[in-house]
Amino acid sequence: MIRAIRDTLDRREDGRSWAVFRVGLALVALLDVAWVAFVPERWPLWLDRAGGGWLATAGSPLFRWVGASVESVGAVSIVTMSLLVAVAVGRGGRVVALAALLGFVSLIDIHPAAGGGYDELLSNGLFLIFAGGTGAYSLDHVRRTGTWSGDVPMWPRILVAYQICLVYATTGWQKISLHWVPWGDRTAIADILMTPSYSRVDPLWVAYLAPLWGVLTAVVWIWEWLAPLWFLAWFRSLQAPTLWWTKVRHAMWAFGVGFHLASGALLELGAFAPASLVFLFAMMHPRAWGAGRQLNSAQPAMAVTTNPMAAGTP
Amino acid sequence: MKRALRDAWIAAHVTLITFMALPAVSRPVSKSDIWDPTVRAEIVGWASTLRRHGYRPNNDRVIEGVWEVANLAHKGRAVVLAPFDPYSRWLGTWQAWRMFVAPQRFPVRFSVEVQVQGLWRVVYRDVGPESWGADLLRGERGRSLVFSTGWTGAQMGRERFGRWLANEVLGDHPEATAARVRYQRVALRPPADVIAGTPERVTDDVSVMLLRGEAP
Repeated sequence: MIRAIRDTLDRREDGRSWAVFRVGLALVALLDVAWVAFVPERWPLWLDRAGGGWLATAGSPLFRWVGASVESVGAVSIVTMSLLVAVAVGRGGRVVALAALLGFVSLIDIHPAAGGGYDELLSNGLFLIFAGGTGAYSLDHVRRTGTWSGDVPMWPRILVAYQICLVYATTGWQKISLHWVPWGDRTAIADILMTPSYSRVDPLWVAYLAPLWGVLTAVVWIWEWLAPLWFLAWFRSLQAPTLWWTKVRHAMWAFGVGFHLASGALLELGAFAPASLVFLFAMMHPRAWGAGRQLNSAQPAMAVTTNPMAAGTP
Repeated sequence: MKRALRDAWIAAHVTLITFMALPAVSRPVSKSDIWDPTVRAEIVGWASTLRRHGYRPNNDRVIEGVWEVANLAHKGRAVVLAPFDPYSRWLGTWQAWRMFVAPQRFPVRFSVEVQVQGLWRVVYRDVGPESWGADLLRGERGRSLVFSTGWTGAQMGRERFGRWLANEVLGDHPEATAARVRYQRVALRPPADVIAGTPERVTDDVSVMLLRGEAP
């Protein structure tokens, strides 16, 4: 089994899915920083007391050292946003990706209470871009080879899939509230939709649809608990796709996309929905992004690409 | 050699992030956290469920037990993860996916008010037309801040944030003699009560007040 896993890690594939992840994640992280940086009324979120905010000291080591002032936070924000643009277009390789990651982490750690899980999802994604490199469909690749297209190692995308399934599984395993569990009263989603801190919807509307939220509470809970099965199905489909595993991963993926679109529309969750969707889109096979003909037929990844059950979505 | 190093790093990374992501409390749990109405209602609810299955737990002992186990697990986890702190903190691989683990059954209604000629006037409400400071407070980061400072045990953060915000609102309202930042905890209504228009029941009302001229 270990040999099979190592063989899968060795494989290469068309770089489109990885490029979708790199570009999408860098742009969402860029918007996340810009959301604070371009609106002066929001600057206090990332300033310490001496800089005009209310924090005694900033959380991140860099800003504890230099102080979180308009000047220092502004400078790091501008540099980080520039680096994120470079990551999106694929310029500068791992060095630029690492610098963007360090800048982003320094900013979101200034005041962790004024943020959410999306900050950490984005930082984990940036770390995986640093680990996996820019790859094909990047300016670096064009400079090296004179063409956009090309192959990339498959292992970074496997880590992307593992990361997002880990998020779903472990958030589900912590939902042991009696309002979440299927044998409880299943009011969790309705309750969340009525919480003024997050909700975008009228409580009356939520109340009228109470039975629907009850069903969705149970489905979301089961979906999150079963996320390890989803990763297993996805990983197995890289090795030897079967109809059963294909159905499982397609169903789990489709529900995930719907879940994030709905939660992003109904709740104010910042960048969580777009960041999660970038992870889900990166789970899609390169063929779904138009790959297939350009692949080097000598690569073992072709075995997956040419299998009709592996084609298309996730 | 390169392949072996890559595989060793992948194995270590996957093991570490999985361990970090396993269910745990995010910080040491104080007694006031446990006595938060939402947390207490959860524990009492589980105790009743156990009672229905023939167990006879005492509510206070269950609460005490949860507090001890949560803090013990937190300490153990911190010891194991300490050597990997630079890897997780500086490289952004930290995993904490405690998202909506339990719905807030006693959410906070947040408002900012100024006092003009002895009367309090609302200038910001989390839901409603009053929108002073909405750019800061209505986005997700502002809402997270209100949520985290609204916890029963978050007195220090609430005081600091509240006084800062009160000072800002006084700056924008020169006619005001005082400002207060108000956290009204309400009990979530069942759907039938929402449809019937039954008013929300306020269970707690905490304000942070600043008089003009006072230091924030």
